[in-house]
Amino acid sequence: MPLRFWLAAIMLALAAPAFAQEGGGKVNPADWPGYQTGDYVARDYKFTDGQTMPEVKLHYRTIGTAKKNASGEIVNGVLLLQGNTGTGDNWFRPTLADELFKPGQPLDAAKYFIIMPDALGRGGSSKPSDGLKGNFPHYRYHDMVDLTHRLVTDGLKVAHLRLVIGSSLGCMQQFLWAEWYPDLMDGSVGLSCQPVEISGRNYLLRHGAAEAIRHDPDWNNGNYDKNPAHYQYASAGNDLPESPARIQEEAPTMAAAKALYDKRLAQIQKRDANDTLYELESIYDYSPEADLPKIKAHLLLINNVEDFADPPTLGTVERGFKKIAHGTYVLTPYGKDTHGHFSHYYAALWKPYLVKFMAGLPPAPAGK
Amino acid sequence: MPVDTSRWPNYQEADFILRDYRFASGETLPELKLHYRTMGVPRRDAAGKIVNGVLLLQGNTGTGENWLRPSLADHLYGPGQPLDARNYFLIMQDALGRGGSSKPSDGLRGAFPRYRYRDMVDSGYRLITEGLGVGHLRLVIGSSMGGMHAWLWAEAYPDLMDGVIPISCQPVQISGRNWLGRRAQAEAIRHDPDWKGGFYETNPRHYIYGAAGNFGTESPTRIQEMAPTLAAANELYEKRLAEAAKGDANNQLWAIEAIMDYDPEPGLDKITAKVMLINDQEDHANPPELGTVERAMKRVKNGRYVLIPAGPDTHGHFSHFYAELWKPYLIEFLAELGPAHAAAAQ
Repeated sequence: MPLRFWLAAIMLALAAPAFAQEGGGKVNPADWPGYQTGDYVARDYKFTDGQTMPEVKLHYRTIGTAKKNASGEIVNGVLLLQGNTGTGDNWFRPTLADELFKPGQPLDAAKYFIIMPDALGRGGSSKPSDGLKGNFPHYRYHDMVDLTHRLVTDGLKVAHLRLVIGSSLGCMQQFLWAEWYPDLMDGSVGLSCQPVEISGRNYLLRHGAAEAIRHDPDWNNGNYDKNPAHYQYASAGNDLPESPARIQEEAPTMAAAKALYDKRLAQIQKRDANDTLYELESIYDYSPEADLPKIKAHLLLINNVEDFADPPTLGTVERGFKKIAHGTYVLTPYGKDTHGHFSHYYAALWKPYLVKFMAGLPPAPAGK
Repeated sequence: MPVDTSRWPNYQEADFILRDYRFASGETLPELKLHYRTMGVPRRDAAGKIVNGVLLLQGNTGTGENWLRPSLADHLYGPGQPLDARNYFLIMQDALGRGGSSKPSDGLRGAFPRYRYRDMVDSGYRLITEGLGVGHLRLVIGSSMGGMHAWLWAEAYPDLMDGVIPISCQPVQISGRNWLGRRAQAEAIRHDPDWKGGFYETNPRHYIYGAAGNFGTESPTRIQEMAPTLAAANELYEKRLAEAAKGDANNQLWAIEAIMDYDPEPGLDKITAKVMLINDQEDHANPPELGTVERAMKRVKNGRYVLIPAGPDTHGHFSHFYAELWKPYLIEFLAELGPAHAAAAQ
């Protein structure tokens, strides 16, 4: 291993405690062919709420091998969209990267140019805690998709995506990508979401979490010097993305459940309240159902039967899918290795469906 | 909505006072009051003890009057119905900490004893035996918290009842996601800057914003029907927030933390009564895939576990409020329960 890879590995090891809260380590990104990171800056960006920022930064990482057309634009892109927490680095969890990007695997880095942005508001991308705090624009999914589209097309000069794959937040946004840019991709894959307006229990919980921050006596409209700490006590108890059966295994007694609560509380105390609030509220414009007929790409949605945010009993997915021309909905059953909403983090659970889906995709446009 | 009680034979409400009551924590109260309502026709043995009691134990919220909701009362206590008030003496107490029973908001506030399930069951037992003169229960039926209490009743007083029906609960130590959710609600109150150790003048209001979003007791499908759009979900949140604002923070906190001694699993083999646990597939507090119920039921000699599948009329954890969903099982259970206690047959 070359020296710089060793250094990267050491730095990653030092950063491990921060990653540990996401539940699982990361493979070393630098081990993947063509690994690069960069920042894309959109200037004088106007958000849908009317606010503007002179510079909005999107941090991203890419791996793989670009194929280009005669105009020099990339035509074998694969865009991977993260969930609500963490960064684009989520895709380097071993349970994803080691199942997806290796030779012969479905997203073989020798064949594709794979793009993993930090979603707006997270990681190295612009976010309230960079300095604007409560004056940061109240971004919405609309802004996140539009900015990432600029990164991909303007920043990285990608003319065509073979696939968009998104989990949770990224799953909802892949529906928007497929609606707004119907000719940009051949296939679109969502993991753990629904193609309907944010509503029902999902909205109640998110709104409750957001309001708890807004009513924290130390929040001060976002302009605090010390992170408000009152709201965290309730949110530490919401371990809803994980399967209740996995939680029960982790916390089979009251003492173990107490320890888990304390661990979650300590993790939440590290997070910035504004960053969390903005993340929670960005979903308020999510309402993709009416435009589902605009989707041309083949679309695959994979949900888990225990997904708390997207319970299969709602019937909303079935309703939405009637409007999608080439849609497949897979509901993975409960099993001893499933993780409810977080099943999206375990590619072994859904890779067979991805492989089958890719085999049925229309041919990629000719690149060079 | 006021409940019409005039239709029930011998409907009565009263208070039972336990003097110098000592809690499991060692704390004491000079007077512990339990408010209760009874109806029906008592039958007594030679010693004058009531032998056809049916004890109905409430869930965490509300009072014993929960059992008079139309979705329960209209299906259970009428002539020919399974708990026909002409045949049974039905007892519905306000759980300790709620309604007309002693609770922090009566005046002691933060100094109210930290009661636990053990105290609630013990004081309830004294109400029915010392206060009401009950010698035998045909049935104990409890929902949610009352279901957990029903397990403890069956373990602590195995000869007292013929049958036990816990609804929407598990007979294992409070743990897993269930405890995480409860602890968080409790900690949110404890860390509300206006809580002041329970000695507040105005009810603290910071904690209610998170709590209003937690509607874990209802089926997500029913919630989606109530709130199919963001606007409707926002209205539902506002309604729940207004309700949460009415509650007393200490009463809530004490009620949430009372569960901390709930650990019925080791005592399950003491149960001699026939048991039927009824849960709903969509119960957020008791998801069937945990496997805890199956594990525990192996220790119950005469136990049956019924899991109601999710359907257009089910309500997740709150399915216990809808007798139509579980009455057929209750009827089967009663038919197989065998003869009533010898004295009751006199």
